[in-house]
Amino acid sequence: MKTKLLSSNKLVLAVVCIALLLILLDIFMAFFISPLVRGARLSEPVIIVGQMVANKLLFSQKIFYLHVPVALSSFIALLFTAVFSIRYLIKRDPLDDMRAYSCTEIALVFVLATMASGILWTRFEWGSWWVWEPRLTTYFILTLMVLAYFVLRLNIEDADREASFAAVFGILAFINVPISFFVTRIVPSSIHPVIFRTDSGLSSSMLIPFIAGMIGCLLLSFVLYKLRISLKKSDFELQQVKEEFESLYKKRLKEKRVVGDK
Amino acid sequence: MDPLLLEAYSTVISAVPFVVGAYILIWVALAVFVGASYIKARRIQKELDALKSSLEHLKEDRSKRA
Amino acid sequence: MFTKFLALLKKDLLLEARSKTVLSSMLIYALLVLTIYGAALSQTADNFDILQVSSGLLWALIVFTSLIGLNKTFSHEGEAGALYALLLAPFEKSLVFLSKLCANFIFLVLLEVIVVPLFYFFFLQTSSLSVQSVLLILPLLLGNVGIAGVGTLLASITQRSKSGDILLAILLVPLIFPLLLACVSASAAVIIGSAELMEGFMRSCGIAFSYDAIMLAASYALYEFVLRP
Repeated sequence: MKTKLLSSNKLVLAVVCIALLLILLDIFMAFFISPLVRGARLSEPVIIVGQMVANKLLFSQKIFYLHVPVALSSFIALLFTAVFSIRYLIKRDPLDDMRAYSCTEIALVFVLATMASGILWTRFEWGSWWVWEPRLTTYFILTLMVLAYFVLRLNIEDADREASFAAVFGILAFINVPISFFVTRIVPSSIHPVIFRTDSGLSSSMLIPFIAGMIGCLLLSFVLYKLRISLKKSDFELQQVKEEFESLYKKRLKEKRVVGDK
Repeated sequence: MDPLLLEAYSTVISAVPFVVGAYILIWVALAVFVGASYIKARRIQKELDALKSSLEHLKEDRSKRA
Repeated sequence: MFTKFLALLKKDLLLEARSKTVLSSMLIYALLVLTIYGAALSQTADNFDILQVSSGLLWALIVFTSLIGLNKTFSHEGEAGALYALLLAPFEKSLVFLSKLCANFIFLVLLEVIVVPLFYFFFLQTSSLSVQSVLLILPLLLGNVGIAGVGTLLASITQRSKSGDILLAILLVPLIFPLLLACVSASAAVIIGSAELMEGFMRSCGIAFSYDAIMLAASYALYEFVLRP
């Protein structure tokens, strides 16, 4: 079915290739071309490949080249969930509901990938697998909200209500994302000072792989979205064919009985 | 090796498993998602084909009788 | 329009005054949570500075109890088809939302009037509370508005589902989390009361206020899509 889906849409196939190429470019450049980021100061500067280096060189920062594009893609997926949810509430087109559902599925995958890579990054940076720091906390809340969306969808019986309620929650969840993002960073903590990371400007050798990865992830999420929504459409078609079959079968049974009586 | 260089690169070796692990986990999540979607799509397609052929069968039957 | 709103509110409050199910359930539950806190904190050393955790414990108590209360204020609407009658009546749907919100808010405030002194009675008597502790009223009120606002909307959604109670918790807690962070921070600042913390107090209250404004506006706008037969 996947080959049937993809080959029937040459555009999708092309997009998948571009997406994967871009991500591979991102990873390749991240590991082989981008310079290592500077960490704690060394006791004495040292000369490496003709350049004066005064800080330790960090390898763990390389996670950022794929972790952040994946994280941002999940955020954009949720944005589209909210957009399609709003459209559904206004126009009541069941296709919009399917679209919102698919976008949230994409968001789920990317959020889980973000959490996994984020936990590993935290383990290395802070020494423990979990710290209640702004980034992880925000993404944890995001994970909980996306999971809550699915729990909600699976627990409401009436299909019509399920769509409306899911749309309402999707919109609220999306509104909550920037709120969480800012509150976790701005809330004054009486005990733990929040360390704000000042991102110095990215040099081009770091910017290019990052942007390549970003575009690659966005294209990849688009393709995955298309995959999920075609799945939903064929499921819908299946339900319709089932209904048609059942009604025709019942008619046939009736006819048989009539003939039998005669 | 020069002790200063050692110090400069001191965090690298211990970092490698985490970095590699992070990348692998991201790809695993994506692969699981695509795999699950593919399996479900195949099942739906099989059911759809089976139902459609039965439907055709029924319709032929009815037109034969009529 | 205001009289209609008052009528709706009066109906909810009268119902509660007669049956007293909501408040009594919330109160008993809060008492039980305090008891569990007693067990949980029983092993702390004599010089344990409970002021540091007291704000968090208090807000955890409030959130858990509010889940009980929110579920209950909607349960009696489902019985006897009262909700259908409400929808047929010529009320604007937003008024229903506002009246329910106010009812939930009032219940939370009444609960806290009893529970916060109880919390002090059980846990804070040996510590020196700062003078500004009275300012605790502000984060409490802001938190109540937020919990009541988002909670009313979500309770309308979950009330008719299979696993209504737990579903409300699953939906509410992630949405309410930023508000919780702000309120816990503000309450801690007020309870501990040192000078630097007080600057943080106004900032946290500002954050809680913005959260309330945004989420309440969103809930108000979205409520009409939720209240359908």
